[in-house]
Amino acid sequence: MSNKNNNLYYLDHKALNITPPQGVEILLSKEAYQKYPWTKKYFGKEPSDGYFIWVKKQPKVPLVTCVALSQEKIEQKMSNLLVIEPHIDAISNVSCLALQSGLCGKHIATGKIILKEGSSLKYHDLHTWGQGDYVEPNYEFYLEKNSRLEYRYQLLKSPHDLNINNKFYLEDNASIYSEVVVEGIKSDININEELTLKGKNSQGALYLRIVASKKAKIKALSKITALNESKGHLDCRGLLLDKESQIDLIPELNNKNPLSSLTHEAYLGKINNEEINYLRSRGLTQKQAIDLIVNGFLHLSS
Amino acid sequence: MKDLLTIKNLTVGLKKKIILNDINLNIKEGEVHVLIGPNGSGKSTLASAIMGLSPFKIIEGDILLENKNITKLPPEQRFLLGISLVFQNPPPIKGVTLQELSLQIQKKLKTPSELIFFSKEVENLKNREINVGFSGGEKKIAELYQISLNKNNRLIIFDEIDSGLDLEKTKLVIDFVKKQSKKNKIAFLIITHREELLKLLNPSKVEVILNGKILCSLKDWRMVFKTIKKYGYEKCKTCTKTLKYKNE
Repeated sequence: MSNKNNNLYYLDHKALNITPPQGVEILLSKEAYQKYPWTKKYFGKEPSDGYFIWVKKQPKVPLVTCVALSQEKIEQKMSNLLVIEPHIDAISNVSCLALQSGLCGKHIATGKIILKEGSSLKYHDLHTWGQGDYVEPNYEFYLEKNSRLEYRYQLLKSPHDLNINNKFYLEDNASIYSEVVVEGIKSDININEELTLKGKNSQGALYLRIVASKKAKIKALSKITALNESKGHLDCRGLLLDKESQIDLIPELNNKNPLSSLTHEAYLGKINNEEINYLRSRGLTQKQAIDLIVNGFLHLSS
Repeated sequence: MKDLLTIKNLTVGLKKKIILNDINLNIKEGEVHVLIGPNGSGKSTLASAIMGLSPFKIIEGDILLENKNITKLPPEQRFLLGISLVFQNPPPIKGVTLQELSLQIQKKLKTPSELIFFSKEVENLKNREINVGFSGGEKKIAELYQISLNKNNRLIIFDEIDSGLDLEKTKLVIDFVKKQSKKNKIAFLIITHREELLKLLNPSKVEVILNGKILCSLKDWRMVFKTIKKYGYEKCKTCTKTLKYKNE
């Protein structure tokens, strides 16, 4: 991957390229921690690895960030912070990847994403890993009043272990649309999503699409808690491609306010043989039919 | 005319149960055959067996297309050789648009068909997920459009030709059948219960299937219908006038 196309290209433990667009400041997390004392409450302890992105004025282009592993058995422990100032609409395209398969690296990212009042963020996160990698993104999203988040995560190539922990906290009138699309092959995957509707008229929808094959084991807990008058919806679906794989879907709704409304839909099953037959009768091979059905299953449109 | 589809002594089972028993059928190129029979008699199973669809297992017998034995060929190869099936109840496929599937079909066939059916009507359906929330008529239009993409078509099987279609569109389908059977010598096997369609189709032959057996294959479809209307399908078991496959 060329680092010229990125506003931030972070390889192993170094930022090789930092070229922020106008209105945006990008620093290493340890620099931000020293330069801006207010960041300390978000970082907690002093970070050693990771990046800080501060969107101060309306950017004209999407932010493009790439974090990559290149060395064998490398251990990345990122501590990241993204702050969007009030009434700014930002787009952040993030890719996290291993440059080679077989590195057996570790990528652990802990981050906070702050959407200030009236701001919006489209956050698209693509992951491509090697079969031996361990990956653990732990993110907290704080949505202040009237802010909006569109979060899309897609796993393009699964690592050996993947632990996703996302927490979303919404204030008054804030809203979130989240989709997590994971195709696990020979992987052990844990997904933990928690949406807390703190503010009045806050609303959120969490969509989860999971496909498991070749002895993949996937466990997904999606939880919505309504503390105030709010609306929330969960939609979790899993597709098993063989008998050796396993998916556990655990949708959880926790309503602590009688004026709020929480709903969920869940589905877990295998591919319908009738659908495969149908596509084969149109000239597709069994593999092409399954690929088309799986792609369709993973495709979410909003 | 040349033999197009020949089925010899075909016995088909599903989970140890015999569904089709010693079926014989011959369809020549350009012929229009109508298959009738009561519910559960094996009509759709025969259509599936010709297309090669699972979970049905061929226990005995052969299926030949233009003298090539296709009994063991998978459905996709049968499609490429020119057999197309219009499903009675096509399954919904979530997340896959009709346009996406059409492109895949065209990719497999390499060159496009010159004979696209319902191309105008299908425009509104192309960006929708296949058969998801389609009305009966929309399903049929999408089906006919897809199979018309097969430039190799030699035999088209309709499992219930008219279900979901209004009279005007049914007539369009019948025109399509008539034209293609004459002009391009495409053969048709049509499953229907409706006598009025036969009047419009004027098929080459009608076959009666009962309890998984073809009991009758006659050119005089009027007589067959008259008999069934008067006495019911059970009469076919004892009817001496018409029946038994070798009659024609």
